[in-house]
Amino acid sequence: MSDDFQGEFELLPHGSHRSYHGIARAFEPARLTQARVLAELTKAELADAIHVSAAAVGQYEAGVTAPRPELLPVLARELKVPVEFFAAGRPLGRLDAANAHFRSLRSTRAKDRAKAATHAEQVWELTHALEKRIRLPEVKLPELPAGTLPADAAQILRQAWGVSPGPLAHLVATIEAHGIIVTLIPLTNKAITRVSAYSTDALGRPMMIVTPERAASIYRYRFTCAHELGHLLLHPNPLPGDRQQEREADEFAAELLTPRAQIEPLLPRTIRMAALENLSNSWGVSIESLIRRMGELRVVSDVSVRRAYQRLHGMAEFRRDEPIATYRGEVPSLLLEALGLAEEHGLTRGQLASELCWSTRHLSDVLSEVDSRPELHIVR
Amino acid sequence: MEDGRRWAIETFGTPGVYVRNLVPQLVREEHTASADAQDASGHRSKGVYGEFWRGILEKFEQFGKLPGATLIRPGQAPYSIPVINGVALFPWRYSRNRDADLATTRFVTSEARTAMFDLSDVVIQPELNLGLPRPELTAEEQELAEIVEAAMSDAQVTSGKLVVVAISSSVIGLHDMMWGDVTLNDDGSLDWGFRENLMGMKSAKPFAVPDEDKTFTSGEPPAKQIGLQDEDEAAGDDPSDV
Repeated sequence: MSDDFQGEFELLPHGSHRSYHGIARAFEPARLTQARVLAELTKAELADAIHVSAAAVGQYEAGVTAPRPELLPVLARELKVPVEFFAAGRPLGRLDAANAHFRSLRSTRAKDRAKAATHAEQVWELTHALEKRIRLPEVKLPELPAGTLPADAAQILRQAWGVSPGPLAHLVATIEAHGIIVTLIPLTNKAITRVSAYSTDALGRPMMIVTPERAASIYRYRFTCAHELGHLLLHPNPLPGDRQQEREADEFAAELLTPRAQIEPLLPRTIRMAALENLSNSWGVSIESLIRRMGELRVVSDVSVRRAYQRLHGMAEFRRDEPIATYRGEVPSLLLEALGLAEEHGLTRGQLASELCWSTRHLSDVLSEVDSRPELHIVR
Repeated sequence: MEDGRRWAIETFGTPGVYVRNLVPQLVREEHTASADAQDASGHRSKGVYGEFWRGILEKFEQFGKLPGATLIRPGQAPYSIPVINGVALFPWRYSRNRDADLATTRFVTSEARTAMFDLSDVVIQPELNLGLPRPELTAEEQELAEIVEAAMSDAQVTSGKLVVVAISSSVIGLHDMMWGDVTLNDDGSLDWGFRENLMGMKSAKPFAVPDEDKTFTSGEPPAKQIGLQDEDEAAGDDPSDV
């Protein structure tokens, strides 16, 4: 057993072959796929590690045959899950990667998208487990007539959510207050980092998942969340990587964060960086985004926009990104608050992790909690 | 009956509502295709999107296949435009600028544009009226269409009427789209008769934000309405429930 699990799983101690027989009989093939994808292993790699043929792993995942009971602890060790993880009987959310919007599809591999989709499945499982105990906010996304333009959709949403004119404060808290799950993926999850951000409502309650790369800058992060919100509202049938859907989500995000009618009178008539920086600090959008807005609204010419971008790139090393951690209303907290309330009424993290057949560390990861323990590096 | 639908029937006859529904769809499709092509090109220059005008003209050629319609080449134009029941239909991308003033933008920039206003020698094949119902028309609209078409069939030449679909778009977005019947002013700009916005909701007018001190961190984050599940609901789910 790896260090991750020492002392955490005691339901089936070593040598509990009778229990392994039970799990082998109730083996859930989809759980093996889930664990393998999360471990970023191909079937062949897993087969190699547990000394069976790749075809055998394929058969386990297809449900043609179940692994022998004595193979279960080996599988569990390789995939860093408890043996009980493979047992059927727990709610299982299945999400095809084709049913999620991926922010940077062109730069992501199918393997990374599959891992991202699996991560979303686990967020759903955690949400489901918490919802059995805790009532989460009702999902409130307005119904849009077919063919609604992205900018109009943004106006409709601001109205439906009662956002007062001006900057949209505490975007993520506002999104969560309207029943949408937002999570950050821990930094160690490199495969999903490449995915950048994604959202889906294919599992019932809509959710969006943002990666650390997007969360490094508060402004970029807010735009990304607004972009994903645009997908959830505008694109019930995701076409992953579709340029038009991506453009529409960008248009929605720009109008949601900086409504044309409100930002236009405030934009300087020429590219003045100091004025733009002030606006950026008030409205919570990047200077790049404001320059783009100036171009869209034809406040300045295309040539001025291009030059402004060049100037910004030249100044990049002098600018510092503001991480989201210091912005209370932008750090996802709905699931943590729900867990906190459940804990007040007797649930422990150990119980919840055990119910989900996860380690408590994994539970923390899915809850987007930062691991505060120092990292040990061995230098040879 | 909605003004836009009535005008479309009075202008184009039976297929009027069909044309009215299809025009914005075709414009959006062409905008998407042109923006995708621009994206794929990787060019800094926006010339690829600039070919939008050619693409939308080609898309509009399908209207020439409607009963009572034909395609004509105005003047020496390198393109064709549809004439539906004697009324010519022309898509005009008048600006890439969201705020360009349509009223003062010069329409006549070529001999072909002038020729569109004089289609008196174009003969239209009269429609064989099979009395087939148009599903998009209400009974009232169907009745109006029959009256209009009866009047149209008296004169089997073009009316000389031109309907322009005026489009403002750039690779950034489709900014504006309207259509209506036009006549030509002396300065080459258009004088609009009936005019209808085909973009859906109109953009709000610029206004000053009342609270200038508000920022994206102002105030308290909204509270999330969470609570314990009702015991009755939770009871059946899991014996380990809280």
